[in-house]
Amino acid sequence: MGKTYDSSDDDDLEYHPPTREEVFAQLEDWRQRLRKLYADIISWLPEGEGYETEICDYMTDEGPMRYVGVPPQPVPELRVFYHGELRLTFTPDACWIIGAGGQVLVHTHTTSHELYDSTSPFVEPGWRLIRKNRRNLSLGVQFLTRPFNRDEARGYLFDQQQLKDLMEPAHG
Amino acid sequence: MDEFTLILNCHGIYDDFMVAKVRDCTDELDNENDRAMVKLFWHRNRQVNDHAYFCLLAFQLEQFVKYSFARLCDRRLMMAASPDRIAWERVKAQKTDFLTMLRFLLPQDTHLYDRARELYRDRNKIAHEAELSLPIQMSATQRDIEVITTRIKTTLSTLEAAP
Repeated sequence: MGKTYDSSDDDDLEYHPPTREEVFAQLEDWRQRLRKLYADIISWLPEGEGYETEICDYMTDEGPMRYVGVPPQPVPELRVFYHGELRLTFTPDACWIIGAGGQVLVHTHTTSHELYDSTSPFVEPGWRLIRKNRRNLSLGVQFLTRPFNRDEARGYLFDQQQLKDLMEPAHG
Repeated sequence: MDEFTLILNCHGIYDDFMVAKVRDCTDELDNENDRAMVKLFWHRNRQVNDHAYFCLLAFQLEQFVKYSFARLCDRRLMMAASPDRIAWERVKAQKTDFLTMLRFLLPQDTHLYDRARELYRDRNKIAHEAELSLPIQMSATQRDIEVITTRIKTTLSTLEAAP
């Protein structure tokens, strides 16, 4: 092998919970990423076709915040209406999440999809959408015989087309 | 279907169920306090579900690394000249910890090693210290594990194809 392996970096296997300052800094960064995402979504909606949006506060309360004694904090939530009817709600689910840089739940009438910030080093940075098509909830023969779609399970890069698909009422 | 995918599927079934519960309570309950309590209940349940299946994924990864390390030792033993053989025999016979095995199998200057180490750290945190306060993005985790295992498989097959 020709190389001596150094074990000194093993010391850092400890989990270091964030400090109060770090919690606030990360929350501010989370708010900025969410605002950027919502700005993109709003720009993707076709103008003059009856779409309206509303951004309101959602109170988030996560493990690291409780750890350092920070009370629930407001983060922006986006609601998309179509001719006055609520179609999509983008609810910030987690700022601290193992395996991703953050996660938003996209609620439609019938189901909730996962939209996560893939800051994982192997995938291109950006928001990826994992669609839940309720097949898991029914557990019928259809679920058992349907071929497993890897891309579907790992999520697609979230873009205008993905947003358009979510808007279709038939999609759910 | 590989074990990793099977685990992810099992996780998804109950996760979807709990997300649906949170959605339903928004429609069914008028009282804001009740809603918050029900949401917190399912939220915490979701996290425990995440952690349980995350551990299963991590254990599968560990088994894979152990198995791959044994293959690597066998191959190195076959290839090595006599002074190195003794070293490899010793490596093979001793109990090797997970990170050392990883260092043999993955290039350390890549994200892969860092990510595998991170997974191991999170798994230790959950399994040994019962730290259940962080949710997990399971699909991204599974994809990362797949990239790691694919890289190890490539390393091994290159080595085994060498004369």
